[in-house]
Amino acid sequence: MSTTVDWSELPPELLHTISTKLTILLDYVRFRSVCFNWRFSAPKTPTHLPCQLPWLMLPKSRTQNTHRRGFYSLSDNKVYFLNLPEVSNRRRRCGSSHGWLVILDETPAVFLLNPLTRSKVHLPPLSKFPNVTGFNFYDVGREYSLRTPNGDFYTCSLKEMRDSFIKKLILSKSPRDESDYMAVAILNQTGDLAYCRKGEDCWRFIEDAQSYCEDVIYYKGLFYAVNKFGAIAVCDIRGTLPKVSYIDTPRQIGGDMQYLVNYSDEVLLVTRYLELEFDVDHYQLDIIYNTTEFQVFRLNLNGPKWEIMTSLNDKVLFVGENSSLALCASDFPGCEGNRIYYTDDYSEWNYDGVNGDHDLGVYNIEDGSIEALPCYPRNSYSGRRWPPPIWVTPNPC
Amino acid sequence: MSTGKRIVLRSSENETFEVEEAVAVMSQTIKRMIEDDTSADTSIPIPKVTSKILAKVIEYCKKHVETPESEELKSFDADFVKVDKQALFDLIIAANYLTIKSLLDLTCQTAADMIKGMTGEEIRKFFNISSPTPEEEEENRRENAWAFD
Repeated sequence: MSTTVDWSELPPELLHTISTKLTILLDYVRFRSVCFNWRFSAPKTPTHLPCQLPWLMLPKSRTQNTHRRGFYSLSDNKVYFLNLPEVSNRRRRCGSSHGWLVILDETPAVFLLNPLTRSKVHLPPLSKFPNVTGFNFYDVGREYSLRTPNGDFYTCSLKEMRDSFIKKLILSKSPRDESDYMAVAILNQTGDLAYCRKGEDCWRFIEDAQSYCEDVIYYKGLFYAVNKFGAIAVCDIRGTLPKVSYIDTPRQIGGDMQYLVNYSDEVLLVTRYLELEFDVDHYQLDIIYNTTEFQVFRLNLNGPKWEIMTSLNDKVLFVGENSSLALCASDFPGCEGNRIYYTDDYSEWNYDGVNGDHDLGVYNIEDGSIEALPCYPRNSYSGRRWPPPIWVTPNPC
Repeated sequence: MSTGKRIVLRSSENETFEVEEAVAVMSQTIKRMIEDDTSADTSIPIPKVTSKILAKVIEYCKKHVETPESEELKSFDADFVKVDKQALFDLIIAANYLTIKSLLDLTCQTAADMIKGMTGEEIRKFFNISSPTPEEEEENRRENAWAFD
């Protein structure tokens, strides 16, 4: 009496419902590859997927002269390849936010690139920052003219601007379609924060947040910026003029780098400790950076003060050049809770004369131990390669 | 114990099931049929659902009417969907036809959980679906080459 059911003949709206229960991008892509009906029932660009576990974008291949770039997946313990001519050798990334890379070049252009979809969105160029007074392509080596806060002028070459002007750039959300995103850039030399919003053609400074330049995150409609002592400037850039308020926590002492992370409904401060090794070899001084420890604090607004956390429980943090990220380990195979996955995060112009392995790994909050990332096993030194790895969230939209 | 009105449901095989109204109206479809039906004492035909599946659906609705949200209910749901693929398919169709949202969500989630981590080929094998045409394969590869390398 039983007829064999044909799962390929399930009505499209039911197939669609099943597809919306898939939370991992790879599962969704595979769903659409099963047969014509399944593919037809699920849109090419899913809009229901939660934030995915980041991939580690690997340096350019040394041996192959190709535009293929490898992305290591922790969940699948596998490298995926994307064809990306847009991130060629001379380009530098200065951020990775909501699945979009921020690309700089030896031109004033600043653009966002989604490596999965290869969509591009342009932001106002470097020449449109408030402290950049001019750009002359023909003035070789001094193409950019800039003004310091006290009124002096100086020049910068294309390369210097590419490498040292912007420290990090973060987005409020993915700039796809008609979303009205906002972007904040941390400037290296002056510690200024600059912002722009969708559709605007120039960058503006958030004057009152100057020096809060260690890290910036987007949190509940506002941008939170932290200085090296752990104090926070809360920036509201939705109106005509920016509005800044402050969270003045007691001065944090120690630590070499600070990150802010949006963790459930809280803001965390992550302090990174580095040790420097000096290696004199072949008449050359090499400086090797090494992360030794992380400390994590949660913000208690009663005070306000930072309270040290001894455990993240199931959460994992991803820090580095990317916009800091917190996720639940149990949502993703291949990922262990209570850990910080970190990458190299130094201005790339420090790379001259730097040897040794990339400073990346997995820090265990519980016992303070550090493990190598599976794709970068210890003792398999393959040389520092350009550019250093960065976390990128695969985002189909 | 309850003094609710009793409704009679008739499966596709003409078998009748008597249930309390509160249980029957978990199905929005049945609820509408009751509201629309002015003549009393007739059974409600459910022509698209077999007795076997209708009995399962009734079991689900009864439990959900009687039991509040709890570990017990979660545990019941987990056991409820431990059925073979054919029955799961029939339950999805029935839950959709009878418009029982929580059952539809549960059964669809179960189907999704079954295929997590499977490649396209493994999913086809699992559900006995024939392979796509070479043109379709090519389009899949083109759109998301990284996943099929």
